[in-house]
Amino acid sequence: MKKFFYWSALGLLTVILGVCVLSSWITPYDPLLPDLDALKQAPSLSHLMGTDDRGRDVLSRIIAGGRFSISLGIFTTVFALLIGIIFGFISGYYCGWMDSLAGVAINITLAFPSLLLAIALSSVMEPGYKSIFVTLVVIGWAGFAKLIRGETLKLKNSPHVQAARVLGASDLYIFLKHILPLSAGIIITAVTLRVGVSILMESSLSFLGLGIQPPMPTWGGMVSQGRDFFRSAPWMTMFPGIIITLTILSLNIAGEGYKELSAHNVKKYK
Amino acid sequence: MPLKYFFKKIIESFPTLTGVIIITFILLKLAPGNPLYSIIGERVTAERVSELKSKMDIYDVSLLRQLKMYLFNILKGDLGYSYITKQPVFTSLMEKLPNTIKLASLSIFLAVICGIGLGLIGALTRSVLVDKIILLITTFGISTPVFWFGLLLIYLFARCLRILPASGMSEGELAYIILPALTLGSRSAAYIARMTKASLQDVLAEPYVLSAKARGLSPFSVLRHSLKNAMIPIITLIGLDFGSYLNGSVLTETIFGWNGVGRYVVMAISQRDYPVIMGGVLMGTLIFIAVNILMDIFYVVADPRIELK
Repeated sequence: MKKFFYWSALGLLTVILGVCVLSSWITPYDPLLPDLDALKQAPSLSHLMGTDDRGRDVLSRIIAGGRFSISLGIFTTVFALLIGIIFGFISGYYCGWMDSLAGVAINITLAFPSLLLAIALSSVMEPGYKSIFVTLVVIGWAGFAKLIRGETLKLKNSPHVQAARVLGASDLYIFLKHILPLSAGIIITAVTLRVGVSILMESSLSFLGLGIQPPMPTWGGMVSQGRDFFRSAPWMTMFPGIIITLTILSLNIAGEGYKELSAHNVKKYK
Repeated sequence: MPLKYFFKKIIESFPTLTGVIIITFILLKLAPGNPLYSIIGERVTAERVSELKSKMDIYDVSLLRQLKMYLFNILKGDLGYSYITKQPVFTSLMEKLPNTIKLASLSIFLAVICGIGLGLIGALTRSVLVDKIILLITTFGISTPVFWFGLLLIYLFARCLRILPASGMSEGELAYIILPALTLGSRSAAYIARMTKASLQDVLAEPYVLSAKARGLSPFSVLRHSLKNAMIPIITLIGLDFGSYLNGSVLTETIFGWNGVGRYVVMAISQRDYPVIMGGVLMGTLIFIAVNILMDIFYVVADPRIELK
């Protein structure tokens, strides 16, 4: 049963990812082109998810918006992970003043409630893809740094690392070959969950009007835009919301499922 | 000694606090637009601008001096003045804070009741089906975006069933607070349920629970004893969530037109009213840090096994 959830989550993620990659080829209508003959039409066979207040097809806009949401979620997480790895390695491996310096930077970032920090950061930048990107990386790196610092601290005195050091391996080599691979399970879980948080954060910022600006569609922006027509056209908010929820739900299930599966594997080999 | 620990924690938080303040200061400086123009309007001559600049004497001093002034002002409780309303930011925030506290308290109350209830059911029943259902509910609770969940609730209770008002505060009747509190508390309820279940299951596996059972204690008193020990991480979680609600639940307050700190900040975003944005962020962060420290201390006081280092 748990495996069933896990695999269906992975399947759903693959579908969403595939649709977003192919977005510009498979949108049934132009996501940006208003159609004055089809204002606020309820879901039907020609418009599976209905149309919005300017007659644009909601399904097409969701597919087009997914490209931004998913790519932002993935790329910012990768970037945050890279920064987190560098800081986590330096502060966990070398200790001393570099550790304190990195530690203070991590603590300061984590001291902010993340949505508030995201609002503060993105409000001083010109709203757009770039501002969201920078914001999500800034609020995301510290968690990774903390995680990798902890793992490095735990592993750096273990026998196999000491053996490698005696054999003359460089610090970087030890970290990349003997510390990072052993933490891969935790990191993969953290990355999966983080992509979900990033997508949630992006849609929240778009909802508040701080993200990618209209007419470009984003999931959060579509929910926000549909709010004004909630009574007459509920599908304008329902469908983007369902898609955001499903995406984040699958990411969460996949992340936690992976954690359980890898814990199971570790037990098996011990 | 908890008191010593308390002071140690406060001193430890100083670098973080300073860093937070410096960051809001830098962001305030980076904000586009010149605050002068916001004060006097765009259509003034260059002479008038330079005259005002010299009068305000902020523009002559170095950034470091400005930072120092900013720090001292914060210590005095002065977060600057709103560009739009010209009111002191701190006073306006304080006016909105009671509403935020009201909403946060009810949300956390609902979250605790639902969360602990669900968690108890999950930990005490051995049914696989119940387990899965709870897992599914909590995963949904964690994954649903707050702003969308709020709209769903409005759709269901205000539009379809017509039993609760969609938004606003009116005179503070209970009916107006129910939907925002449910929205805000949903996420927390899911986390609390998971934590309760995991923590209680851990405790129930301890040898002393077995010995209590073996001595013939009633299931109820066994539960009472084990719940006491299981509660420590749960209460920490509740505290932290409450702390994050106190800094103004930006999204929930916006959707429901709740006149609190969060909505005040969001309205400032659309008006580019940077002192208000940064003031709100700073205050929220300070509250957040304070709650974190309190929870650290609670943890140590509640569980004597944790050593005071």
